[in-house]
Amino acid sequence: MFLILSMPSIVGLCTLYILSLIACEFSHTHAIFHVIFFLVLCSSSLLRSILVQLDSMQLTLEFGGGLELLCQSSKIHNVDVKPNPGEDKLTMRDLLAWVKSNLIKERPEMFMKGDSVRPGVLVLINDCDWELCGSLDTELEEKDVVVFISTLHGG
Amino acid sequence: MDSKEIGSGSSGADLLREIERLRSDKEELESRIHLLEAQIKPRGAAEKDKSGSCSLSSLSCPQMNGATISGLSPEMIHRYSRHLLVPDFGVEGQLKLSKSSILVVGAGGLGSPVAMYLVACGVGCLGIVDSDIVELNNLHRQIIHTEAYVGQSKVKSAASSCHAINSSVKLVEHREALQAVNALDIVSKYDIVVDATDNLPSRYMISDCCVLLDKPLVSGAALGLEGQLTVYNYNGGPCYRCLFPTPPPSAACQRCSDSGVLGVVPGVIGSLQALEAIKVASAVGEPLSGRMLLFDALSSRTRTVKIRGRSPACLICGENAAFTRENFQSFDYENFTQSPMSDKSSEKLNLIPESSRITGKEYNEIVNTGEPHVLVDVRPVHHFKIAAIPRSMNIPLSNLEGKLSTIHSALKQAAQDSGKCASLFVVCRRGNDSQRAVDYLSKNGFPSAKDIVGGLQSWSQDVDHTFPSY
Repeated sequence: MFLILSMPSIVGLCTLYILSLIACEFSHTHAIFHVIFFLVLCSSSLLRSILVQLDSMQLTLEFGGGLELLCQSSKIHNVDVKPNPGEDKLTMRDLLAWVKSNLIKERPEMFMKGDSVRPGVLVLINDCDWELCGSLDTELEEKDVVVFISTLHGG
Repeated sequence: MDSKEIGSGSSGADLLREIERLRSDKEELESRIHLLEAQIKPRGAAEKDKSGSCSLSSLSCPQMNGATISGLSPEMIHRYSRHLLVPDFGVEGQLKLSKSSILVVGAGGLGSPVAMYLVACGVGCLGIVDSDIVELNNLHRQIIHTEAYVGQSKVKSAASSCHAINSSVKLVEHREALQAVNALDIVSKYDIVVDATDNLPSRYMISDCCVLLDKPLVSGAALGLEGQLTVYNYNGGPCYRCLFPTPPPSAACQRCSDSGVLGVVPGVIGSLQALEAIKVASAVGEPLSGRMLLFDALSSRTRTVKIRGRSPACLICGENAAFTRENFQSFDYENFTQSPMSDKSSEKLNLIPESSRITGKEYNEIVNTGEPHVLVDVRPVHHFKIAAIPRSMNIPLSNLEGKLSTIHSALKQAAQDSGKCASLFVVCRRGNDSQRAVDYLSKNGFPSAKDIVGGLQSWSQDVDHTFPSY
């Protein structure tokens, strides 16, 4: 999806550049300068961010109710997650596996049981219980906020 | 308006007559007030019964006389005037509240603001159930109790504070633990239940009980710097079991007595519980059913999320639920959750052989005879900062694996200094983590490591009474 959308902008940039070359008086000394300029343009952060977005998804993950202790006491994680090779979508099942291997630093059994979260953990996708939108099969979208919260019992 | 008329065109004699008239009015009003007060007092004393009955049959409000067109007595109108002035609440809200009976389970950090606000706001009858006694380390958050009540029943203390706030509210003291055997009997006497407990089995038990008796349940929880709040079993919303059909592993159940709690956090959640209970009782607004409020004190963030509705597959409230009152009364909630119905009783681990353990007194002998040794304290760093045995070495259990060489060199140093072989001892807060540490150490090059039975708690009780307990 992103590839198609971003293609015209890349093609457009290159066309603009070539047109500007033709418009200018083409001289030998200028040519080297133009080649360097073109390389700089290619590696510019704008282009790079477009390329990164082609295959990964920006998500905000939040951990609470004590679960943050499993990921170095940090509650909010802004992450880029890539769908599995050969797939164009990212499900909650994929995300849980990703979280387990990338964010959980200790006692993974306090976060997961089987391929889902352990009992007593609420999962909220954009402030909504994941049970209401497909649990493990929920397909995530760009900029989704996923909250993992352990239920509290104290008082 | 009146004063202007009197002040402008009146003579001195007129003014004196007016004063005289007002004085006689005042006297008449005062004598009427005395009469009414005399009628209230003997009843007020009788309201504080311990029979456990919470009948409000003689209401609108039995303690009030002189009902007006609103159905509220003049005294009630005066006392609750700021409620009555809120258009969304008004007379109807106050009347419904004054006819409702609410049970607060737990007179602790959450229960304190719940009970105080419900009584202050004019609930008809408030029941408080708890078997605990007030401890000094409760007072930072359990603001209903005062120093004078340390060592006494929490329910007695809470009832006394409530009575001081509003003597016109009927209070029922249940000085016992709410358990499966007595819960149906107690809860059935009330309209609404507030879960202000501190443990997992009680939460399942109270929710099941409320489903069986069809009572709305205002549930709150707080730990550390976080709180959670929702209303169960109300208006087609879920019960606790719909949300958590399977209990979490007991290792995931943190308690205030282990993990700590900032005093204001249960205060915030408890206040919100009182608010939700008032909304349910007075049928005002949208109670937090099918939604959950999450409070993070550290970042000053609250978030209200949508949670699942009643689950058709729920074993307790679902379509084919076959959970009867008999099932309930014989259900072992502590076994179901693998955790105790108390914040205090802690597991007693027996992981390592007796030969790998010494008592606090025995360790004290070793210190006194100057026997060379190293004492490793495996508590977390923030525990170690509270208090520690002199010359003990803090290596938290979670870091033990990477610190074996540190222990080796400490033992070597102690041996060098004394010319004898140095022994290794491990201590923690209560004597469980120290066993886990000794178990690990014995398998990783320290076969003669020993732990101190009962940890610093026993040390404080049996050896050094000046050592602070926490």
